[in-house]
Amino acid sequence: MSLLRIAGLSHRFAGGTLALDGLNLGLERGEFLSVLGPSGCGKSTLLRLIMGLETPTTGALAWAGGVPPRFGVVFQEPTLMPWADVIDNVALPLRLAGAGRAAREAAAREAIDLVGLSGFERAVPRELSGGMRMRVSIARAFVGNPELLLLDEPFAALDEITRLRLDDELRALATARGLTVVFVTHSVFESVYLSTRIAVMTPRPGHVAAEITVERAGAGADFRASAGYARQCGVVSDRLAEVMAA
Amino acid sequence: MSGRMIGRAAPLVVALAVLAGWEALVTLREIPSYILPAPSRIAATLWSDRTILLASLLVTLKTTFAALATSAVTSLVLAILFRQSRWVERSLYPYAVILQVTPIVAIAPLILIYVEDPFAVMLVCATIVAFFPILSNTMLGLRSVDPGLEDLFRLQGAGRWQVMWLLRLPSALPYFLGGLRIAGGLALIGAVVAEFVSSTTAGGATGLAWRIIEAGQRLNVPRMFAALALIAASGIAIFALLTAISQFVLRRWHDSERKD
Repeated sequence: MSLLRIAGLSHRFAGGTLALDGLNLGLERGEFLSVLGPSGCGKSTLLRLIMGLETPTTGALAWAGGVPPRFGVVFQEPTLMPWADVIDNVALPLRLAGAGRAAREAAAREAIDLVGLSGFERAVPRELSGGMRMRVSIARAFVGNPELLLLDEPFAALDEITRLRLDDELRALATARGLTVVFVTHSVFESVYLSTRIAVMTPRPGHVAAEITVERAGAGADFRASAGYARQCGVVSDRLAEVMAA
Repeated sequence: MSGRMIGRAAPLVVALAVLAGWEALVTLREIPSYILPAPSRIAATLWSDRTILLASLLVTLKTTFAALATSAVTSLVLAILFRQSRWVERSLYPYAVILQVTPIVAIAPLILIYVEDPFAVMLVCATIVAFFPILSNTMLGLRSVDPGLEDLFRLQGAGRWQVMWLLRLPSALPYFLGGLRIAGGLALIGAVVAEFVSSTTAGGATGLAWRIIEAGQRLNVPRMFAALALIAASGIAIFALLTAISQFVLRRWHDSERKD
């Protein structure tokens, strides 16, 4: 069942740069879609257009039912309020929506528990590591009970070990809750590991040049160690190289 | 002795050296105290005239803190208004700048004509001198917001005032406190200047500046120095107090107060 149809989407920045040109993309309910492309190809712009932070120059985004669903966002940076503790940061969306203190705190504690940060409720961002700050950011995205999760290279600035762990946790959370996810990344490995489908973008002005479905069936418990994973990484890598060369 | 201790002791050593040299010069040259009093004489005057000097100190400090509080509140309200309405900012900000760049000694005689209450005169003068750094700093702070957080607030459908209370004001707090630190010294300067200017009239000016003028007319130079020392000490104390407040408020989250 389709959640979003993007047709003929172009976006030109105020400075005149054409970021996206004639982009077509569909988003199905419950899928984990990675948008993969080189730096500067307009991946983040695409996400900002989906969020409604930018207006398309031409083309349209058609949501099922006419309105976007409740969505949570995670940016490249944790984007936390440095003066507020973990609870207040996580509860921010509820506070802005006008929820009462007790309801906010209860929901925030639940989300904090979800990302494994129980015990750090009263810490401020400066007292946390980079990975923990990202977890706070993820908890904040989950607190409003979203149907759709939009993530913009959320783990790019983290070390490899932390990134792999957060990839695992994000995947588990999204699967358990049946969320639809759009995940922007420039990592082939991350996109194959996380996604059910990958949209490969061209360099600027970007459009979707290839769509690849990821096959996980029969890979066993450790997908990363399977032959299927390595093979599909190879396929995606080749497609990306073709797109870059074209 | 560690480097840090030497660092702390250095200004004290300079002060002791200067005072000792000063004392020696006055004693050896037998300079009369109505020309240059020795530090020991100034200290003795501070003690013997303590009643009159402390009363005057209180008057000056009262003006200073009243002006500082008025400046802080006015500037904060103005900065918020300017942020919420570009129209208000364009209409009023130029006048804030004009007030700031016009020397207070040139404005004060006019204020004396139109404002009757002597305390109000001091308050107005000192406030005019002190408010601008708080205003301009707070305006800068209200603009210096993490663009990612701004996006997030927009995405969550935050209203104008929600963005102001929950995002802009906390972001501006370190800037506001920085402005307050500058304004503390300026409020004192404003209070002293106002006392000087209004001392020509028969107003109720009895602050430290008035004591300096009065003592000067009587050639009581030791008391002039004693009053001056009190003004300087007050300035340092106000700065230290405002720095401590800033450190306390920001200690947990702001980079400026990070312990290294």
